[in-house]
Amino acid sequence: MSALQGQGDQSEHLSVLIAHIVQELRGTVLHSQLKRAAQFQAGKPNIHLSDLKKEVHSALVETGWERKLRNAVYKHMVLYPQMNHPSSSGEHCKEPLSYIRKSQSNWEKRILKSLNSMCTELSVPLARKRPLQEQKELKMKWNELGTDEPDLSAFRPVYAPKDFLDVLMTLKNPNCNSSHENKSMVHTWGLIQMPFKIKTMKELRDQYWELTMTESQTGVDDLSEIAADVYETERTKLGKKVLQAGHSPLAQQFSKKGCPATQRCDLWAQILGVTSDDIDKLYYEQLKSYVFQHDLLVDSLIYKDIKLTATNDDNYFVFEDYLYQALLVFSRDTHVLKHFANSSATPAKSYIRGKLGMEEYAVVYPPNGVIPFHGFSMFVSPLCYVYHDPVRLYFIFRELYMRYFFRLHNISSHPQGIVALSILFESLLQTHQPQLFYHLREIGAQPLRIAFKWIMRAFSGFLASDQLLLLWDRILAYNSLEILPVLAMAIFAFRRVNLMEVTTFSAADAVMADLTGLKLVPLLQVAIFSSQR
Amino acid sequence: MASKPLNCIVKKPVVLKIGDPRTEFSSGAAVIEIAMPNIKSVDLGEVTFKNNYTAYLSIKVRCSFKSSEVSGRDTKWKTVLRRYPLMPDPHCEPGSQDYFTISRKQMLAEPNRVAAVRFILQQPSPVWSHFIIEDINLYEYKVDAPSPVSLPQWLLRHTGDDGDNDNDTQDEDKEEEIYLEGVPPIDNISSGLQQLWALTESVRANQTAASLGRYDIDGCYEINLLSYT
Repeated sequence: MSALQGQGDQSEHLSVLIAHIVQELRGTVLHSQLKRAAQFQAGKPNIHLSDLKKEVHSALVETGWERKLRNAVYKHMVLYPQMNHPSSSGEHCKEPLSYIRKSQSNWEKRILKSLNSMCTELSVPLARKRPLQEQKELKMKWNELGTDEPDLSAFRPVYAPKDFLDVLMTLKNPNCNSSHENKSMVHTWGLIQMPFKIKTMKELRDQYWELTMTESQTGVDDLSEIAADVYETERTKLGKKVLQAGHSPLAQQFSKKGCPATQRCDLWAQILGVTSDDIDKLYYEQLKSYVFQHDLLVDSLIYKDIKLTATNDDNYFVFEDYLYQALLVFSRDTHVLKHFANSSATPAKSYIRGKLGMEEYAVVYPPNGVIPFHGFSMFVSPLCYVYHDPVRLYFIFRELYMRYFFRLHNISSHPQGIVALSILFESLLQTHQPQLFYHLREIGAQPLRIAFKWIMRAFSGFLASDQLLLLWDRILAYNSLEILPVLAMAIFAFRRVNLMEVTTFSAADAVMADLTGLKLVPLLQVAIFSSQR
Repeated sequence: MASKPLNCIVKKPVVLKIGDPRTEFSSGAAVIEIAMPNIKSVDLGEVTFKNNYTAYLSIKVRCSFKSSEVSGRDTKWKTVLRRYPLMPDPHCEPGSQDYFTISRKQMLAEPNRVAAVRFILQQPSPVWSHFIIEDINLYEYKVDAPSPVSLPQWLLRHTGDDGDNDNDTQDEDKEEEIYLEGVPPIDNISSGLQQLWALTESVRANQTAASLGRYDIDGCYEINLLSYT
C-alpha cells in the first residue's frame, strides 16, 4: 500500500516511522548507555562549549556507539509492521483480507477446542501452582530434565503439519469468480488455490543472485578437493573483519554466501541484534523461576513433542535437556506476545479460576501466546549445534521465532506466510517441472502433501544438520523464508527420475523420505540458475 | 482527519453493461455517484475509502460556478484523478481490501467549489466476481491548520532560567527577588524543583516501553479452560 501513496505521504510516513522508533528506543538499555557515553564525552576537559554538540557527536561515532544505534534502528525497521492507514482497524493491520482473518480465527478456535477437550478428558487444569516441594525438585533436576519420564501417553500433539495443510486447502476467496471459463485463469494443478502475488523465478534469481555458480560459497568451496583450506581461511579472515565492524547489515551481506561454522554464532547474533548481556541473563533467570512456580498443560505438550521428534533423531537427541530448558522458558516469556502485532494470530485467552468473564482477571494462555504443534521443538534443535550457552541459545531462538518461524504456522496473506510459501512451491514446480508435477498429480501424490512438512518446519530434522544451518544462514541473510519453497522445488527436480517411476503416493513419499544426503548449495544453484536463458 | 466528514449521499454503484442488460457480460467498470444535498459547493480536501477489489480509480467532480456565469456550464465535469492504481496487480490480492486516502495534493486539478463527485471504478481482471469501494468519506479543505497550543508565559520564563544564555531574564528576576531570613534564594529552590520535575517527567516518559513480563494476576495463574470469546 505504501508504494501507492504519493510523494507527500512518503515524508509523513517517514516522520511517523521515526517517531515510532524513537519511542521504542527510549527506555531501552541502549538509550541510557548512549546518554552515559555522551555525558562522559561532554565531561572531557578538552571540549569547548561552543561546539559541544559536534564534538560529542563525533566522539560517539569514534567510540562505536553510533554504530550500535544504527543497528538498533535497523532492527526496528526490519521488524516494524507495515504502515497502516489511520482509519483501518487493529485487525486490519494484522491481516488485511477479511476472509483470511476469518479462517485464522476459526483455526484458532479449533485448537482451543482441542486443548479444552484434552483438559476435560484427562481432568487436568491448564495451569496450576506447583506445591513448594515440587518446585524444589524441579529446581534440582533443571539440568537433566530429560531423565524425567512422566507418563504422557494420554497427551497428543494439538495439531500436526498434515492437519494444518488440510485447513489451508479449504481456503477460498469468496469473491473469486467460479464460472467455468475462468477456472483455468487462477487454478493451478496444486492443492492451494489462492490469488496471492508470488515471485517468479526471474525475481527470485535477482533476489538470490549471490548464489550463482560463479560466486564462491561456504558449503561448496570449503569442501572441494582443490584449495579448500585457502578459501576457508580467507573467508574466516573476512568474517573476523565483519564481526569487528559490529554492523548488522554487513553481517547479513556476508552471510549470503554462508557462515563459516566457527563464526556462525556471532554472525547470527549480530544479524539478529541479540546481545545477551547481564540484564538478559537476569531476565532468563526470572523466566526460569516462573517455570518452577507454575505447571502448565503446555509443558506436557512440549515434553511430548521433544520425546516424539528430537529425542528420536540421531542428530539431536543429545540436546534433549537444552530443548526442555529453552522451550519451557519460552512458554513463560511475555515478550513473545509483541510479535502478535505483526501476526494474523491472536493469543488464546482465559480467566483465572472462579473469575470467569471478569475482564480484570483475563489472562493470556500460555503466557507467551504460542501453542506448540507437532514438531515445534525442531525450531530449536539445530541451534544447539551453534550455541552452547543456554541463555544465548534461548534469546537467539526467541528472536528467530518472532521474526520468521511464527509465519510458518499461522494463516495469513503475508508474502512470507505459509500460504504464500506453499503457493510459491506449487507454482515453481508447475512452471519448471510440469511433467513431474502432472505425473505426481495423476498418481494421487500431490507434491505439496510431501513438501509441506519440510516448509512448515523450515527443513529442520529433514536435512543433515550442517546443511540445515547453511540454509538458515540464507534465511537470516536474505531476511526471507522464500528460500524454503525454492529448496523444496529443487529437491523434487533433483529426484525427478526416481519420482517419474513411482505409481503410488507411498512410493513417492518413500523416495523423498531421506534428504540427509543432499548438499544444499549446489541444489539451490541448479534450481535457481540452470534454467537461465 | 480530525475534522468531520462531509454529509453526503453515496448512491448505489452502476455497473456498465453492453448490449442486452440480461446477458452476463462484465465490462469491468462501474460508477458511484455522490450527491451533496445540503451543501451548495465545497472545496474538497481529501477522500478516504476502503477498497474491495477495485483495480483502478478515477474521480470526476462537478464544479459549480458563480451565479454570473452561464447556467449551462454548470454541468461541466472535471477529472481530478485518472486511473489511480489501487491494486498493483489486478489479478492478485495485494491492495484488494486496503484503506486509501486520496489527498488534494495527489489530484490533477484543485477540486474547488465541488457540487457532486463521481467515482469511476475499473477492474480489468475476470478473477473477481464483483468489485466496489466502501466507506467513502469526503473531507472539506481547510486552509488554516489549527495553530499549535502556545505555552503560558510563566512556564516559558521559568524554563528559560535553565539555559546558559538567558542572562537577561535572570537580571529582571533579580530585581523582584525578595529576601527572607532562613529561606534560601527562590531561584535555587525553583531550579532544584525544576530538576526534580524534569526527573519525574523523564521517568514517566521511559516507563512505557519496558514491561515487567508478568503473566499472572496477583501471583495467581490457576486456569481450568480456555475462553471462547
